[in-house]
Amino acid sequence: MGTKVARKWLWWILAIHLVVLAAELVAPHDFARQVRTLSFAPPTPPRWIDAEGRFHWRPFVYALQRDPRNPREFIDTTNERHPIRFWVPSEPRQMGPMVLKYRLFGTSSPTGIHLLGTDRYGRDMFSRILYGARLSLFAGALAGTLAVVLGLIAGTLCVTWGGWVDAFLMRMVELTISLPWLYLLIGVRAFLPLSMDPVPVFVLTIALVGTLGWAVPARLVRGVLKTAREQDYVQAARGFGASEAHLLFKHLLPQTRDTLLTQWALLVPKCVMAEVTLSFFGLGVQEPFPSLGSLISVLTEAHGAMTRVWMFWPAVALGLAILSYHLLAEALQQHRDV
Amino acid sequence: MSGGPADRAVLSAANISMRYRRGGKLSGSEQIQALDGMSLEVRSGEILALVGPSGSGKSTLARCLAFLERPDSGEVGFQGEAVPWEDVLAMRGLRRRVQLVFQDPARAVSPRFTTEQVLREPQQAWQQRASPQRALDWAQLLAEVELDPKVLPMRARSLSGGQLQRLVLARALVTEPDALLLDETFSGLDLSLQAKLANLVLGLVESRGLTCVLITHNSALAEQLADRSLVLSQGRVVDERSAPDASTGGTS
Amino acid sequence: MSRLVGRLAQGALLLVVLSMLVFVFAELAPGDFFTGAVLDPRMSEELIETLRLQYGLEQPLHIRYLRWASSVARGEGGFSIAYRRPVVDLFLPRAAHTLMLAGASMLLAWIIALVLGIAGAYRAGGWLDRSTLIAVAALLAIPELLLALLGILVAVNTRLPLGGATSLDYASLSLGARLIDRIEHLVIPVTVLALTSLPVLVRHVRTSVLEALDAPFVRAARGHGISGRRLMLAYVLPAAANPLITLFGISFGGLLSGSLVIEGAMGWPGLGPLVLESMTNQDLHVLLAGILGVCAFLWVGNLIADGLLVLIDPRSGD
Ligand SMILES: Nc1ncnc2c1ncn2[C@@H]1O[C@H](COP(=O)(O)OP(=O)(O)OP(=O)(O)O)[C@@H](O)[C@H]1O
Ligand SMILES: [Mg+2]
Repeated sequence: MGTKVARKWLWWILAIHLVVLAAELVAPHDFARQVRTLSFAPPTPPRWIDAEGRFHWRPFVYALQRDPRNPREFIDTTNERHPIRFWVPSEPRQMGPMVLKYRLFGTSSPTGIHLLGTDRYGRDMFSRILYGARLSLFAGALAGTLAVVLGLIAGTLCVTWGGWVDAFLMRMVELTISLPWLYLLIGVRAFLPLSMDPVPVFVLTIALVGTLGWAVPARLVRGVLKTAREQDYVQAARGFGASEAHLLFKHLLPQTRDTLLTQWALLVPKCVMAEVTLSFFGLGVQEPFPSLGSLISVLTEAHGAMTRVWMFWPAVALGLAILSYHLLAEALQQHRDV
Repeated sequence: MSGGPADRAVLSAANISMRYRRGGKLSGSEQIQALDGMSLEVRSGEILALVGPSGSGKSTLARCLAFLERPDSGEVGFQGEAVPWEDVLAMRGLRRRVQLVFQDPARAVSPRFTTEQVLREPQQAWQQRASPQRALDWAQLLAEVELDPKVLPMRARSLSGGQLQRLVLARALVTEPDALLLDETFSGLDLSLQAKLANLVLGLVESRGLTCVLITHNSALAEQLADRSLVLSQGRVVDERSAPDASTGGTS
Repeated sequence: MSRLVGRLAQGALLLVVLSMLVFVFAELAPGDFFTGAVLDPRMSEELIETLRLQYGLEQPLHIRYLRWASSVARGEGGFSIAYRRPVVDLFLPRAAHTLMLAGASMLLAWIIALVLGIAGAYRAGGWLDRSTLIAVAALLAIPELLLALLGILVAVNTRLPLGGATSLDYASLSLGARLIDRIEHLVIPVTVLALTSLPVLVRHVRTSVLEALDAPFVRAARGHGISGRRLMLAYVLPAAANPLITLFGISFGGLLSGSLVIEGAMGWPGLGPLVLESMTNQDLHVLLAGILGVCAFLWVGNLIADGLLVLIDPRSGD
C-alpha cells in the first residue's frame, strides 16, 4: 500500500525533474531575454474565443500594449490573433550536447506568449521559473544524495571502526545538528568569492548543503548497522569466516536501503530550501541566471512586485515541489511502519 | 575419532569472564556478569550437554566457544592452543572449524536469501586463494540432512520449522567443522520432530566424527543424548554429571 | 558552582579560538573591505590605499588581531569600516531585536506546543490529537521562507505594519502608543517564526508525554485510581520533562536559522541582515561580532538547558 503511493509520488517527482531538465526546450523564451516595454506585464492566457466572440480550434494569445488611460496597466491588442503552435522554430541554442532549433510551444510572432506574466525587466516568468526550478531542484536532489552518501560512509565507519572514530563522529553529528545550519551555510559561503559563474556556484552550493546534511543519515545508518550486526544470520556468516567486506556488502548495507531512501526524501526538500535561501540572500547564482530563491526575493524588493499576483508563481512552484517531496517521504515512512 | 586420544580437548575455556553493559538510563550503567570465571573442556568426539536456567550464560559461552565473541578475560583454546584474537585472518579460519547453530533457525538465515544462496554462503564468505575448497556436493549434503532438493530455489524464510532446522544444520556442515555447537536447537519443535532431529544429529556426529556441544533447558534430553553434562548457573559451572552408561551405569 | 565556572571558562576559550579562526579564514579569503570600492569611479587608487593604511588593513595578521582584541577589551567590540563606528553601537540594538523576536516566538511556540502536545497525548487518537497531527504535518511541509511570504501577504492585506521594529514616527509617540506600535510590529514576524518551530516541538511534546504515560510507574499510579490532572502533574509531566529540556537546548540553533530567514524576508532589523551584509562587504569586525554573538547565544541556550536538567534531576549533574 505504502510502496504503491510512494511509487506514484516518485514518478510525479521524476516528471517534474524531467520537465525542468528540458527547460531549453519547454520554455517559450530565453530566461535572460528582456522586453523593456513589457515590464510587469500580466499573464497572456491561451484563448479559444476571440474579441468578437468567435471560436477558434487553435488556441491563440493577444499581444499586450500599455493602456493609454492608465500607463501602469496593460490591455490586449485584439486586432491580431497570435496562434499558439507546437514545435515552433527558434534561434539555435545548446541544450547539453544537442543543438536545439525548436521550442516545444510558442507563437510564430516575436510578441510571444507569457503564460505567467513578466518581471520588472519584461522577462518571461514561466521560462524563468523553469530554469530557476531546474537549478534549485537539481541542486537539492544532488545535495540530498551527497548528504545521504556521506551519512552512509560516516555511519559505516562508526560501526566498522568503532572506538574513538565512532565517538568522534557521533560528537560531530550532535554538533552539526545543534548548530544553526543557515548561519553555518552562509558563514562558509561568505569566505568564498561572491560573484562566480553559475556552474561553480551550483557545484559549490551542492557541496556545502550536502556536507551539512550528513548528520542525521549518519546517525540512523549507524543505528541500523549496529542492530543488524547483532542479528543471528550475520553472526552465522561471521562463523563462516566471512570478511568484514562480505558482511558489509552482503548483509549489513542492504538493510540500510529503506532508511536511506526515506532520509533522501526528507533531505531533498531541506536541501532545495537551503539553495533557495542562499540565492534568496543573494549568495547563490547571480543575475541574470534565475533560481527559485532569487525569483522569490524579488517579492521583498520595493519595486511593486508584491502587488502583481503573478510574481508569486515562483513561490507557488516551490511550494508544490516541496510538498511533493514531503508526500513521497510520508509514503515511504508509512511503508516502513507497516 | 580416528587420530589422537579420545580425551584430547577440542575446545576449552580457561577462567573466562564476560560482562554486558545494560544501556538505558543516564544514571549508572547496570552491568550483567554473563560469564563469571568459567572453565571447561570439550573432549574430541564427545557429546557435551550444557544445561542451566535461562540467563545462566549458556548462549554467551557458546558464542565465545565459536570464537564469535571475545571474553573480557580468560582464554579460549582450540585443540590445545590459545586462540589468537588479534590475528584477524587466523580467526576467520578458526571460526570455520567450529559451527554454532542458533536457537531460532528462521532468524539465522537472511530474509533476502533463497535456500540455495543460504547453502552457498559459507563458501562465498571464504574467498581465500591460499586454501581453495572442494566443490559443493549438493545431493550428498541434502541427503545427509534429509532435505528435499525441491526447496533450493525457495526463499529460505518460507520453509517450515523442521526444514529450516535441517537447512541450518546442512549449512553448518559445509565448512566441514570439527565441532558443532547446538544452542537449544530442538526446543522450538514438537516432540516427534525433536526426536527425529536428535537422531539425525547423532548420526552426523557418528558419521563425520564430530565433537558436539548441546545447549538445552531440557535435562532429560541432555541425559539421553550426551556423554557428559555440565550444569551452569549465573555464569559458572556448578555441577558435572556423566551419562550413566559412560561411567558406572544403572544409577538413576 | 565550580562546574558553572568551568563551563564559563570553557565557553570563553571557545570564543577566543573561534575569533582567531575567523581571522585566519578571512585572511585566506580573497579581498578585503575595499576590494569592492576599486570598481567605484569616485574612489582613486591612492585614496583606497590611504584608507587601507588608515584602517590598518596593511598590518600583519597578528597585529590586526591584537588591535581587534584590545578594542573588544575597551568595550567597543571592534570597528565597522562600513558604518565608521564601533561595532557595539551597531550590534547591541540589532542583537536586542533578534532576542526580542526569538524570545517572543520561542515562548509562543512552547506554550502552544505544550498545550497541544499534552492535550493530544492525553486523549491520543481523539479529534484534537488527530487535527493537531494533521496541522503539524501540513505546517512541516511549508518551508520557512514561504511561511514568511504568507506573513508578508497577510501584512499587506491588513493594517499590520511590516519592515522595521518601530514606525517612523516612533519618537513622537506617547508611551502607550509606543508599546502598541512595538507590539504591532512584532505580531507577524513572531507568529511566523513560532509557526516554523512549532511542528517539531508539538511532535516531541506529544511523544514524550505518550512515553511517560506508558511508563510502568504511571501505569501503576493509574492502577491505584489516580487520574486526570493529578496524574498528569504529579507523575507524567515530571517524567516527560527530561527529553523536553534536552530538546529546548538544541532548538536554539533552528530558531536562529529561522530567525535569519524571517529577518531577511520581512526587513526585521535584527542581527541576521547585519551579519549577511558584513559578509558580502567583508566588514570583518562586524562579522566577527555576529558569529561570536550567535555562538554565545547557542551556548547560553545549552547552559540553560543543562541547568534545568540538573535542577529537576540532580543525579544527571555528574
Ligand atoms: N548482547 C548482549 N547485551 C547485553 N546483555 C546480554 C547480551 N547477551 C546476553 N546478555 C545477558 O547476559 C546474561 C546471560 O545471557 P545468555 O543469553 O548467555 O543466557 P542463556 O543461558 O543463553 O539464557 P537462555 O536460556 O534464556 O537462552 C543474560 O542476563 C542476558 O540478558
Ligand atoms: Mg540462550
